[in-house]
Amino acid sequence: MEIQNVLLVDDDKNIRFLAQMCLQDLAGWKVNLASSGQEALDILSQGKPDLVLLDVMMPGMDGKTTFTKIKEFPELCDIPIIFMTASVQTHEMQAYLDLGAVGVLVKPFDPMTLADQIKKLMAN
Amino acid sequence: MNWLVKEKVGILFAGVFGILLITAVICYQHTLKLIETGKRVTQSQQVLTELVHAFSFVRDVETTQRGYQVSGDDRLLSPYIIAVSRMNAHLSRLKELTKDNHEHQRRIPELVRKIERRIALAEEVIRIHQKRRLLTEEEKTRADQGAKLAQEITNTIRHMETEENDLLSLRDNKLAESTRTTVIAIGSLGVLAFVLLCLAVYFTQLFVKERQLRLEEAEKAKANLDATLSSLAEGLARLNQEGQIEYLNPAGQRILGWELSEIVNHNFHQLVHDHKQEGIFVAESWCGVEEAMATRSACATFEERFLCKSGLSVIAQCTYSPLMFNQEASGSVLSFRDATEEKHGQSLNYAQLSITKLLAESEELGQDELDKVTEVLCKAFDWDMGLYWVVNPERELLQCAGLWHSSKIVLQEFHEEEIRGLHFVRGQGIPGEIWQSAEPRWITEIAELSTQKYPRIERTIKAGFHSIFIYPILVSGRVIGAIEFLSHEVRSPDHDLFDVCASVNSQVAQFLERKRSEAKLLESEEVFRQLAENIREVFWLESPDLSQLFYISPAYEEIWGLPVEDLYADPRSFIESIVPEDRDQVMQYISEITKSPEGSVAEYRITRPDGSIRWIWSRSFPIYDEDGNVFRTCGICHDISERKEIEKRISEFYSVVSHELRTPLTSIRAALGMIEGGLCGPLPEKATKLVEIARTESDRLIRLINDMLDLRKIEAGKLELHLEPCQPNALVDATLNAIQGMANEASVNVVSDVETDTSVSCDKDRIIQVLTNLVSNAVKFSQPGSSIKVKVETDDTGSCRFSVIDNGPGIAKEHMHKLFEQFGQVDSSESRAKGGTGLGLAVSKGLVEEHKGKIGVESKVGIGSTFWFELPKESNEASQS
Repeated sequence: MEIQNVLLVDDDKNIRFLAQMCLQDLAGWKVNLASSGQEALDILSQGKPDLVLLDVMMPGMDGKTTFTKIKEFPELCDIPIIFMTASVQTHEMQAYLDLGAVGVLVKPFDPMTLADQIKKLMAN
Repeated sequence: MNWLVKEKVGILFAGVFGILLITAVICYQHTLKLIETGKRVTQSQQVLTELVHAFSFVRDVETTQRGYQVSGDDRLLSPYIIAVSRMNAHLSRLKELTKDNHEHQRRIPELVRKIERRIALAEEVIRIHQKRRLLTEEEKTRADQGAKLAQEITNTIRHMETEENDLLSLRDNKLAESTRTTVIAIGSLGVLAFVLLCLAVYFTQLFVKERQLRLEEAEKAKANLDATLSSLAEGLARLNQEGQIEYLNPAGQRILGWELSEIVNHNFHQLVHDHKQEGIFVAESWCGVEEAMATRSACATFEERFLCKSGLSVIAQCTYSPLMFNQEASGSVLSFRDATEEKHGQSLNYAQLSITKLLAESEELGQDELDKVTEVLCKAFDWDMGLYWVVNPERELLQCAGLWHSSKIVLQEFHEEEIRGLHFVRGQGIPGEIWQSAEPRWITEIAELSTQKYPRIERTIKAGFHSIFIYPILVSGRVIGAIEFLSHEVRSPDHDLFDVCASVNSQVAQFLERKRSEAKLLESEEVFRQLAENIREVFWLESPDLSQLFYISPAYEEIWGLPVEDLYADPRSFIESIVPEDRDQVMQYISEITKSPEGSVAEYRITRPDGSIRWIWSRSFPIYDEDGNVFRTCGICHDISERKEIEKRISEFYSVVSHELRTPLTSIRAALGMIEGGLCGPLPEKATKLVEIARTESDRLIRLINDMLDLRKIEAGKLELHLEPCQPNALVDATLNAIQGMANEASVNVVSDVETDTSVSCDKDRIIQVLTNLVSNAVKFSQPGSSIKVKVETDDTGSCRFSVIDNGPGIAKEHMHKLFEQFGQVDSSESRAKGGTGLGLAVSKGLVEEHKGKIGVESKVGIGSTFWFELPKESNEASQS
């Protein structure tokens, strides 16, 4: 599946900026940004992206809650979601996969290979 | 039967005797008869002879007369004269012989008359013829008359002969008859007597045999009785009415020391009863013999002192019984046994018992107790005086602490107070010597001791003492006192006394030991109480099934907020305080206490009565008895709520730190990565170098944070492994893929040598992390162009060994042990230059050990190193199950 639209949800604006830059500049994907779970839900209500990159630790609605809410919408439940986390806990990663995530990206990520990593996860 | 035989024999002998008597009488009578008959026969024969003579005389007369008549020759007259002269004699004999025959008596006078007439006629003829010498008529008439008379005489004689012959034959027949009758009578009586005699002999023999049998039986019975009496262990004596000894069995002789022959017919009471013992006189009327005779019944068994031949006395336990004959007491029987040893043993036992009782009931060994001990021993062994010496360690003196003397002794030489004040220094006097030597001493005669050496002994001798025995009281080989005995008699060593003293010694030692351990116990109880009441820890002792609580420290009330009394009443009640979610875990913990000496550990929460929750850490241990069975458990617990709170905060802190550090690092690393990746266009060479440095250091910082978090988790026991079966080659391949870039950069060839396809149970990511650590270390330290081998093999036990073999510089032995410590690099500067965090091997070690595996290194400087780790089979099974 060809990725064209990506929604990136992260509370850190530097990371939003850097991830958007490397995905747009290196992979040529259109990256929409949301700074919180709620904002992500709002954006998703307007249009459906090909992939959601979701940060786990966010103030207010965290990544897991956001994930669950997204999955509650029938029209959104088929959107692939990849978690991004600064944690290295293996069991947490497994927990995300068990929830139905496509994959987990560990922060910090290598910006030059980020798109490739996402593609690899999507292929799996 | 015996009676019958005897009777029969008597009757038979009487019969034989009667028959013999009758036979004798009959014989006598018949013999008389025979003699008489014989006489008659002889008489008849004589009568016949006489008659023949008479006849022949008559014939002679006739013949002579005729001859003379014819011849006239006078010479022819001579036979006639002879006949005439003898005729009278024969006739008177005939008369005499036929006295009893009336017929003959009647005839004989006539015959005599006729013969006389014939003779007269013949004489007349002869006279006539002489006158005339011629035969005249007268002569002729006379001669005819004579012839006629002669014929008559002849007839008479013949008649008498005939008669006499008849009589003879009659008498002969009678004689023969008598003889036969006598023979028959004597013969038949003889046969009868013989038969009776045989019978009598037969029965006599029977009788004799029977008597012999009875005699044998009687002898056997006597032998049995003798054997019984000889074998009897008890003494047995028979006394006559006067109390004199008639019999004494061997045991009795043995006990008393007398031979039977020596004392037979002696008065038992006077000889044997010890009248003088202990000054008590035993009157004869008290003697059991008298009593037995008087009451005619067995006297109850009682103890008496019997005097032996040797002059010693024995304690005899005896029973007197009257000797009854036809309901008349004809003496008495006395059975007795020597109870001296027994009594002695009893008194020893009594002494020991008394001392044991005394020591058991005493609180201390004061003068009263020691006086009593001395008294008991003296009385039991018959000593006149006893002293108990005690070492006074402060004054270095042996002092008299106990004293007893018999009432018989009047202490003239010593006053009691004086004795009680006696003391000796070590080595001085007999007690002092014992103190020094620690050996008991028996002095048979103190008079033989040197008065120079023992100056005090003179007074002791003067007081009439002869023998001394002194026994040291030892505790743990040290003399703490001595018991001394003195006697007015000369006494030889008594082993029993040694034994009892040894026993008293051990009892005193035990007493002192008991006192000491009681004091110790009090002391340790006090120590324990102080500990228990002041340590703010809960600890306890209880039965393995929790049914009984022996002790719990008061801190329980503080932590649980419940009274300990409730717990003592129901030791399981603490479970009710535990929050329901933790109860299963606690039950598991309780069940595991007795399973191994290490016991078990648990952490759980309780709800206190005020509603607050407390975290409790608890550890329990089993207590084993001598047989190795668990008979108690003990444990300790404390409130870890604060620790739990801190742990929680630390955990949160790490989590926050992790996130907060990573977030800026993510931005830095991403920005640097994009610059380095040329997203902002080409950079000048120096800038490229600087950006690379910034990027690699960012990577190292990230690794450092990751390793620190891992170590923190391992140390806190918070690392959770997700075990799954993994193929070793997959693990190695994943590692090599990850490391390939780095290896290429260093121009190091990394090869895989996986010899096993047995899957291993492990946390895949963690093992890859370990392998990556090891391989990246190897790459860092390998020369460009060298190669590294990653080898995997399984051994017999099923454990899987991973080895990373390099040809690097190797590690000196002295550095090896530090390798797996945090920041334990051999040369930290070099390592850091190569991007190491200093935590990789420490994290690897922790991860391998979390897998219950082992990690290690083998290395030779200049040749290379092999880092290896082993994953055990157990974790395989655990994961698969």
